[in-house]
Amino acid sequence: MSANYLVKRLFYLIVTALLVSLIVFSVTQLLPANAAVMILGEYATDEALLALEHKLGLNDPAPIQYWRWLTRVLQGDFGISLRTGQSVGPTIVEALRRSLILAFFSLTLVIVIAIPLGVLAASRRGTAADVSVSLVSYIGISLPEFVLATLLLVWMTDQSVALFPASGYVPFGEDALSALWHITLPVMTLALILTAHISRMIRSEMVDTLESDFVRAATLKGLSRRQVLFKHALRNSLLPAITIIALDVGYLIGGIIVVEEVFAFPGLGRQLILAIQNRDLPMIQAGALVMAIAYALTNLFADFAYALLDKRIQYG
Amino acid sequence: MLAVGLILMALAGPWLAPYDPESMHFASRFAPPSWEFLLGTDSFGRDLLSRVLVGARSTILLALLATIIGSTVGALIGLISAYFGGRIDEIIMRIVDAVMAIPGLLFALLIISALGSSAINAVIAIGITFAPGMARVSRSITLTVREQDYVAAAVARGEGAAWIILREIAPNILAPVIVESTIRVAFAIMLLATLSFLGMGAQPPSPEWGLMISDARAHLYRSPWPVIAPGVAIATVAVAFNLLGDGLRDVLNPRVQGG
Amino acid sequence: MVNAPVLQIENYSLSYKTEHGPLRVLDGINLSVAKGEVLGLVGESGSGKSSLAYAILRGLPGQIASEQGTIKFLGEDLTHKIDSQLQDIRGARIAIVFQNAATALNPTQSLGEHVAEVLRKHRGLNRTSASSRVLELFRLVGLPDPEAMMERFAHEVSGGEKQRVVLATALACDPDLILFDEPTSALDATTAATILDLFSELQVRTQVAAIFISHDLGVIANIAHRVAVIYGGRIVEECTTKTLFTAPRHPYTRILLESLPKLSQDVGSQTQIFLRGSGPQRTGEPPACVFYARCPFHHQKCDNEQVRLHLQSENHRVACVRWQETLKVQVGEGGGVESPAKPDSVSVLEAQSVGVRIGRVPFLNGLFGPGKEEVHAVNEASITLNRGETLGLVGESGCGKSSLARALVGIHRFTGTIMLDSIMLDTNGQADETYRKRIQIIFQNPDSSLNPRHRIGQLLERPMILYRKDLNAGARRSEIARLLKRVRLPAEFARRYPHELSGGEKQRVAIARAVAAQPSVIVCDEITSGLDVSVQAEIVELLREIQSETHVALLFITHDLQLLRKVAHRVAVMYLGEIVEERPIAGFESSPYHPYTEALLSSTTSTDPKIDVRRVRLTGPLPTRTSRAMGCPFDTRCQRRIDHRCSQQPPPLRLPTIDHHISCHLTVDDLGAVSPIWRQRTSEKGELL
Repeated sequence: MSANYLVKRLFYLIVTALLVSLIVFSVTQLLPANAAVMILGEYATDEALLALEHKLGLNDPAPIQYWRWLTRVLQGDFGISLRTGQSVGPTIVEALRRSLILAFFSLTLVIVIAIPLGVLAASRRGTAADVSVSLVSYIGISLPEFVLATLLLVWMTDQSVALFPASGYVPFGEDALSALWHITLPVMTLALILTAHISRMIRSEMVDTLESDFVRAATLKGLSRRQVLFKHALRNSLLPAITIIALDVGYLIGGIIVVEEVFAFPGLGRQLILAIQNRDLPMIQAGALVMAIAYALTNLFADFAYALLDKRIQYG
Repeated sequence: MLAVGLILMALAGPWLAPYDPESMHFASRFAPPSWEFLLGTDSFGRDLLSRVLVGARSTILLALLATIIGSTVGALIGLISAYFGGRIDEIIMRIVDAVMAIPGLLFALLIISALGSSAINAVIAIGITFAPGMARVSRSITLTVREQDYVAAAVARGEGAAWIILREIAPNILAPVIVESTIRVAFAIMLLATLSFLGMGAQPPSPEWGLMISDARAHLYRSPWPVIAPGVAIATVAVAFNLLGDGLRDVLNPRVQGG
Repeated sequence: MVNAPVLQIENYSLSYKTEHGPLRVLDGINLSVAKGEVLGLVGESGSGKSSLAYAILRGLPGQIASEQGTIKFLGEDLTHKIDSQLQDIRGARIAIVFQNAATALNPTQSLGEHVAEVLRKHRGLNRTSASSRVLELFRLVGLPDPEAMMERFAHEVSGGEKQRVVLATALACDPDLILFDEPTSALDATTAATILDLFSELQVRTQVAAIFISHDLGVIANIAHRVAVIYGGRIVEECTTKTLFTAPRHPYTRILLESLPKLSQDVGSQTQIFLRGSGPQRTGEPPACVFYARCPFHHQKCDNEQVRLHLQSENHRVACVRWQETLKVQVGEGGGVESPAKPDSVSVLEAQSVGVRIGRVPFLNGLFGPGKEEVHAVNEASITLNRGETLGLVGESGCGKSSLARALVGIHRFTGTIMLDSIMLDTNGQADETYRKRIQIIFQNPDSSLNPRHRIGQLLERPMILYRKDLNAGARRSEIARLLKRVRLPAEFARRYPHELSGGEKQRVAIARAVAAQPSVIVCDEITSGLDVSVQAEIVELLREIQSETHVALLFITHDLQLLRKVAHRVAVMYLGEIVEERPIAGFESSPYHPYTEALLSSTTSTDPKIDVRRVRLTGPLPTRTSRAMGCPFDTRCQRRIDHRCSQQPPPLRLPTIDHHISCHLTVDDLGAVSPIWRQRTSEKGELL
């Protein structure tokens, strides 16, 4: 892997990011027949509409609107929230930080649990262990986050049980234990569902690898079952696993949005929902853009990690 | 085999539903399951079983619709992109990549925010969200098929592009596309419910499952049944379609490869 | 010389579980291998030979329905051993060399590590001693630059080198028995020849016992001491190699040998017998004789009881009831083939200075400096074909013959001129039906050349709809029936789908499809490569018949030189995109020839016991051409390279006779001054055998 590959990949990222921003912008600002009506509602007076259109520059041709927006965004100015009247930028950053905490804990848990589960299931294919893991995974992937979240809410936070708080957030700086306590339920929801997804993928990867010729060759060389499993099969399955996990981060983002809503966790997802409900255009744009870029960055890192580890890629 | 049994179940929902009317019994609100109300009642005293069954029709049909739209559009894009290759392929794939860079739920939300919240808009949004994923799948299969000798034979015969796409390539990508779509239906159901839950999809008083759960949130501690009933329903149907898809995949694969 | 056998298999049978009931894979196998002996195991695809290897190592894929008999290794029965005991045996006492080295190597593990882990596991060596032993082994198998090789990965080395690594792994712990599962099938002819030499040499040196599995009789002839022929899961004959090729007894063995071209005979005087009937029965009650359905000598008494191997004479066992009779091969159906019909002198296809380039640099990649470069697959190649003539085009994989074929048929763009029946082909490969109907192509892989979703009838009808518009639907239907009959397939196949047919049958459908358009030229791109030997003979025979009937010209592309002698009038040899030699087939094996042709000829393995093959071995891997190099394409590997002229100047055309072209810097005299590649073997007294 050389610098050339790095540069190439970064270039792709920039192109993708630009396209993403274009898509986000067009969908939110250009698509609706009249953005001003959308914002102010159907009963707004004509003067109010005109004033808003003028203020937001909504009557200018599309490319100009886009350019204006883009240049501002690149300078870090995301505009003013139509709902709170406050600057969008800092709000987003703060909310992002909190969401990242959720993401971080969930992902760690998932990686630690899902990969061994998948390997276990694959190596004991067809046995009770495998079937039970598969069964649970199946249910896991068929359950939308909000259902699980709400159920957990019901069971764990009822007055009589009171295991975990139903909502809210406590910064880690203040009280670490309480903070952990508050994020347990959301993280658990996310982790459970994501584990189901990823362990299934890992299992399927491993099963394929275990049937490949070189694993067979290794067995016929007289290596022990454990050696074959870990040294040969797992090492080759881990590489695609990175890509799988990175792809699932997209799903994680969706899950975060929902979970934050159910548990009233003040992260980026919640902000976005509030923004959509209140037709807060700048907030919607900023939130969506940040999330999409975060996803793209994750995939970029995954690609780099993959390229670093896979000797086969010779991108010069 | 398992799949076949579940196909019936998945189909039974929309079929059974019309027989159970939706009605309200204000007297017995929040009742737990009993013989009168098999799954209990909700905050308005409406029979949960009937609501779930009626909701089945709307949820499943809407999800199917969304999947069909998304799959068809996506598959076509992938097919055309892979067939023509070269610059066209690159450009289309860059755009597809960009759309896929936006996480599914997020994208659907964005579209809903532009179009307004309603069940139909949710269907459109989900359809658009699915299209790029399906395009990728269809493209990779088409690339393989395109390298087959029978396509080269067709080119050697001087067949036109339309013929090759329709008669040579398309029949061979149909099977994997259908398998993929079936699994997507499960995802569509979940996405639809999620959107409704967030208030962006079906609007009250529609018996859509996600909406039912969202309604139940306010009265969560009085009775868990309004949450459990539709929740289990969603999960079950999703599982059914997942199994169906997996079953289809196993059935279709050996035949294609056997020879 | 006869010691206690290293391996002794007694009455071993194996069946797999399938949805249609138990499938007999191996039936009553009796074999033994002594120390220092190489036992060749020959059979066609599906005969069960690979399964035997895996049965020995107890590494069978699939679900086993039943298993009987014993496999004794150094006196101990392997079938009763448990996993931990087997681990000690595998890799250390019995090793296996696989067919496809590319998939047998772990892509994320260094080559040295593959060998080292075996050493560490079985010999308990530590890191340093393992490393030095690996180096030793790499040198033993002839790997260049062993120190660097240890750190490399599978995808960085060539096929031949990969196979050497696999061999090194097998030899690492000095095993008593090595199993070779078709180790050269996936390699080029010239590479395979070198690897086989290596095997032979090492076997002689180490006196290891070996079982060498192959479908290629020529390879077996060169490396095995004894041969066992397997058909339908049963051993039908077992004897020394010499006896097998000079005096085979079992009908199957004889048919197999007959279908191989004999180098010592003239092309015209060869007889042909074909395998008719259905393949061996694998389910249900085992038949008395496994070969009964296809045996030309089948007699009632063959069905009386189970036919097993019994001793005919010292060291020769046959499973045939009629082994004592001297059965004459009838020159009946398909026998007495004439040499290919004389072609006209009317030119049908002319290609001049054709060049084909493949590879396209994706737009965005190209912005960052050189991406994948274009490969010059074909470079200034010129060929002509006359009516009714067959031109054989030979070369190894990567030499550009398929690219040339595709350009001729209008699938690929090219430079130069191509003219068919006086119609020019546009260089972009755009052509209308007037061109396309006159030239048809048959591809190598029958599985991918027929659309699996179309019925046979549909496949055959399409060219007629396009090119023979004078036929209406009814006429087309009867024409389809006629075509199927012509290629000896039942008419009702029209309703079937490709996956219901065997490889040979599919290929015949492909031929029928090509003929349906009534073309002037048919391009056959390695159409026999994936098929069993007996099926190959049939296909070739079919083509010859069609040619003599319709006077169609054939461009027959192959890498199998021996096959050409049956079907071609002229031969062109292609290397790295250029035609290096062109001549009539008669006297093809006599000098003068181009150095590459010489190497190619010498890599063909001889199954004729009367012929000796002189060895010429090439070194180095096949280069790829990414730019218009100035000199001779064979420069980097030529065993007769002169000097800098070969790299810098394009070689001139030498003409030993008017229809024999060689492009080489050596003069005709120099070219002719080599001993013949194929030489009649002589006895000690100097008489011809």
